[in-house]
Amino acid sequence: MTTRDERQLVQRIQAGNREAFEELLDSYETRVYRLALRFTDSIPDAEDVTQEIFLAIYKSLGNFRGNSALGTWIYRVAMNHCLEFRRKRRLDTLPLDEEIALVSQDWRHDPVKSADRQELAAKVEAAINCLSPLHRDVIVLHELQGLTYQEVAAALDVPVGTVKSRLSNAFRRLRDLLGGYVHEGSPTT
Amino acid sequence: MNRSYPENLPEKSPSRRPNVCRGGLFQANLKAYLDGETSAIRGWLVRGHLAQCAECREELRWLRRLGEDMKELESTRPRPELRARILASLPTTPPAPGIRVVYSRPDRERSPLLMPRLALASGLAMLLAFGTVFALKRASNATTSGAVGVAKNVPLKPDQGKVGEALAAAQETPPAAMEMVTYTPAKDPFNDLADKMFREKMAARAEEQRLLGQDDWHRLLAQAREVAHKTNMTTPTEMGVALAVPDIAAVKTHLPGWAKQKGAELVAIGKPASETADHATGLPLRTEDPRANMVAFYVPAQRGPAFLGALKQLGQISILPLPSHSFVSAATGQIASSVQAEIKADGGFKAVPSAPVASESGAPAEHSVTASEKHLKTGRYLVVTVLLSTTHD
Repeated sequence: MTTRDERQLVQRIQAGNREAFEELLDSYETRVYRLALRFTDSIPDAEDVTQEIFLAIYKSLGNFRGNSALGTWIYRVAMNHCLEFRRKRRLDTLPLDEEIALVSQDWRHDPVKSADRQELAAKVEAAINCLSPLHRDVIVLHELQGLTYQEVAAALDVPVGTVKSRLSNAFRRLRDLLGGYVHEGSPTT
Repeated sequence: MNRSYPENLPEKSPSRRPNVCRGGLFQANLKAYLDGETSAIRGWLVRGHLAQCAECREELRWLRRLGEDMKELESTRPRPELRARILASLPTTPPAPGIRVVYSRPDRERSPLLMPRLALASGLAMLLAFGTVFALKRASNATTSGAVGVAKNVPLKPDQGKVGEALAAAQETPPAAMEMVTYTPAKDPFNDLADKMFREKMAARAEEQRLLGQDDWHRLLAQAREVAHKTNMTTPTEMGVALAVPDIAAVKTHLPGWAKQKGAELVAIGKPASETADHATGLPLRTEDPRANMVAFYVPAQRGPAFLGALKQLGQISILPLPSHSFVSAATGQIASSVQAEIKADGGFKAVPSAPVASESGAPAEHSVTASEKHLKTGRYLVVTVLLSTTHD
């Protein structure tokens, strides 16, 4: 979506056009939902957070000035809600090990994946969930959501250099966690 | 698919990671390099290192493979009911402009700019408060003297003062079509304040430039460290210097040997390839000075002052208008494709087409960076980028 398209879309939404908002949902619903699922670890919570995010987006679209790309702005709103969810849940959350187990099981039970892929995905998934929140956030946004460093920096409100170092450190940690990955795997090239 | 992971994830990070280059200088950049997010110079240096280091090539393969695997994790789609829920929850009124929504930022570090912003905001608030009190006082004085006198002299029209009738008339008038209105204040004291601050900053920078040469190395070092701190960079630290010389070709001829004498190493020489780079540095490198070159040196930290002193003997030096990190980032990808070059035996300059990329099969690249292993391993060195241009008249 070009900047001009985005501007027109925002103007139509600001004018009260519901179909325009549905177009926005077409582009961002799945991405925001996946992001929310990463932070909530449960489908009902992810749906609730996604709904809150889009409600907030709708209410505050009147203030969107186009200083940044619409996608960046949406991710910023979404990240704020996700981080707020995480902060609240910390107060009475499950122990870390249980959380990891829950998430891992969700992915293991995906019937589409083959047994190898399930095992592989489960281990990567578990490793990602072992990361610190700061490292996990950049992995989720960059690797899983496909945002550029610049977009991740905008979504997290940190310098690009911070994104770089966090990503690098996160991958080092993943390497520690998945130590045998390189040695036992076969080259893909 | 023949990949596998260990059965049980270790609880703690092992103290030693096998199969990783111990130099520690390039691993921090491998991920950014893989994502195409390194600065041009840094990317070029990483490529050169990869040509020599099998461990880092393996590390790069591992990073790429894990990244590919992670992308496959995201396959979940929301249930169709979610969209209906979202749409049903929207208010019936369109989003109204003018209400600023401020989001909390609970999980991030405090911005380094936050305190100055708060200080500025509180200062502005005090100014506003004083201004309001002053204005109220003036208004109060006016009301008790001249304003009343003037009002007494103005004849009232028959329909004035009838508030109810005026409101009714206003309601009957159809509202004008909504349009964007840009408000530009005729005189904004805060703009003046900002202008003043900007001018002072520029004056300070000009003074810095003038004083360059007294304690410049330590100041450059401090600047480079500041950039590194802000961007969370680990070594190597980059710094940028502009060097204007009378005769570029003559200087270039002696650069490799000269650098070696000073304990530094010339690792890259080439030309900034983009207008963006020229714009970022403010130097007329491409458009006005086609002979200008960009040179990168490894300089051991302890030899830094001597190196900079030697540079000053070659010509006029100055700090780049922007930190070198910004400068290099501004031209990401474009410099890298043309920076490769070699100095011919007769001292001339010859561009080498397309930067060689270290092949992952392990074959050495055609050209490689020849930095000393001791420099790479100690990490106590700087990458000094020198923009070489002719002396301005």
